[in-house]
Amino acid sequence: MAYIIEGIKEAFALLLRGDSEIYQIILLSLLVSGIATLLATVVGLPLGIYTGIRKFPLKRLYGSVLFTAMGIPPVVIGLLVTIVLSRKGPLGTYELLFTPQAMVIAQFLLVLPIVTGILFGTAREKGKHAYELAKTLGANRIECLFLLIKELHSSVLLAIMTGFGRAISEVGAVMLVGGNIRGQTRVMTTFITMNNSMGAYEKSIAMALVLLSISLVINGLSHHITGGKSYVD
Amino acid sequence: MSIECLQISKAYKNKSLFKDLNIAFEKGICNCITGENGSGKTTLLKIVAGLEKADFGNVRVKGTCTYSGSNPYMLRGTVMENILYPLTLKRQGQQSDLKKVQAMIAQLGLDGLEHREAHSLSSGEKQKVALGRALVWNPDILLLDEPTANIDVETIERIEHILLEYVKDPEHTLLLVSHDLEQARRLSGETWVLKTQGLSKVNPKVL
Ligand SMILES: Nc1ncnc2c1ncn2[C@@H]1O[C@H](COP(=O)(O)OP(=O)(O)OP(=O)(O)O)[C@@H](O)[C@H]1O
Ligand SMILES: [Mg+2]
Repeated sequence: MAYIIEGIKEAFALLLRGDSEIYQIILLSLLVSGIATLLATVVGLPLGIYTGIRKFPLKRLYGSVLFTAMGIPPVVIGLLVTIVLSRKGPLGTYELLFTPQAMVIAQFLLVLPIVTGILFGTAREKGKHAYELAKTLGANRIECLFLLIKELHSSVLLAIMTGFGRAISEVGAVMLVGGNIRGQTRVMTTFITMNNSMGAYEKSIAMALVLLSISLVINGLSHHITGGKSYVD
Repeated sequence: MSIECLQISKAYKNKSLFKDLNIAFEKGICNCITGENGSGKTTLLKIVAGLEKADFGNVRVKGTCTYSGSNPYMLRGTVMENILYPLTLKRQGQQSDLKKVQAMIAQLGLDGLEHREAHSLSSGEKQKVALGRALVWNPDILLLDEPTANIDVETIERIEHILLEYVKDPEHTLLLVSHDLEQARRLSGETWVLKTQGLSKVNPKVL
């Protein structure tokens, strides 16, 4: 019992001391997951909205595939990206494996179906009327997209938040493609895993507290957006 | 003529709504369509508006065209913002836009509701907002699906007056779905009944 309390005390001391390694790791985590989520939003937002409001053959199948893809285990994505980026892989010449770029790619692939899927679902249910209105008033595609983003803005925020929350807290993908290299690809989750296996609980706990706070803030915001409901108007 | 339907057919599953429909609607008058529930009036209007596709045939529409349904969608925001939206798409000067919107609000008797959330309006009020939103855009062709279905008697008069003003412009075409033959008579244009055999012209005065 005592070592837990010691660990928490140490953790606070570590955070308050302003340990530069810890803050660097936090910054890298936020950057990697932030950029991955941003890119996934740039692609997934229009894709999800557009496919949600349009009629096309095999739309149901597309929806099922999309919703399934939302649950792909991060470690599987990590494995896939590792294979593609490894020396002998198709994109091996770019030497991206074990770089932050590789981590962004992996998390992008993780977040993309989440953002796309959430917006596909809402646009399919609620986007059609707004789209038809914009269309009958002569709006072009970009204007339609902007109107739909505005009309569905709660879902847009929820999608971004859910995607970022998933990215920042996953360990499988960043571990495989990043390799947890100190000062280069070490992020919060891989730092926790490593220190835990080395028995350096105070460091694990310190970082876990930071990660927990970030997750709580994100979840709190999502809860606020949806008004505590499991769906969004 | 401004709307031409050439040999259009539409069926849902195994229900055929109309087959090889040929019809042209004239400018400068009110074209009123009536017919039984489920005869396909809304579907026809949506096909003309480009929101639904005909299974076969072509629709030719000359000029700008807008459609307002019987259960209109309200955008997030106020009544004012809803009616302003079509003008923001046209990217005109902000000042004159606001004046137009205010004039429209007064014309429709929506005064006092300008700053209300459009989502919170009654269905009749929503229909008025939708009509204002369509009219402020000043389209060449206006497609209205039962625009006075939930409207009180006094406001119906007001709306019919606005619609008559609208078709006074010889470049304007009004295509209106209504179950009210008295209304068709008051708007005194052409009246048609939609049946599976096609559209047939009727004289609302003798019906
Ligand atoms: N998306 C759809 N899928 C299947 N059937 C449809 C669809 N839309 C309309 N229908 C059917 O087509 C028929 C015509 O519908 P429509 O809404 O055009 O009728 P309407 O003439 O406008 O009727 P009302 O007077 O009640 O408004 C109805 O029987 C309706 O059930
Ligand atoms: Mg109808």
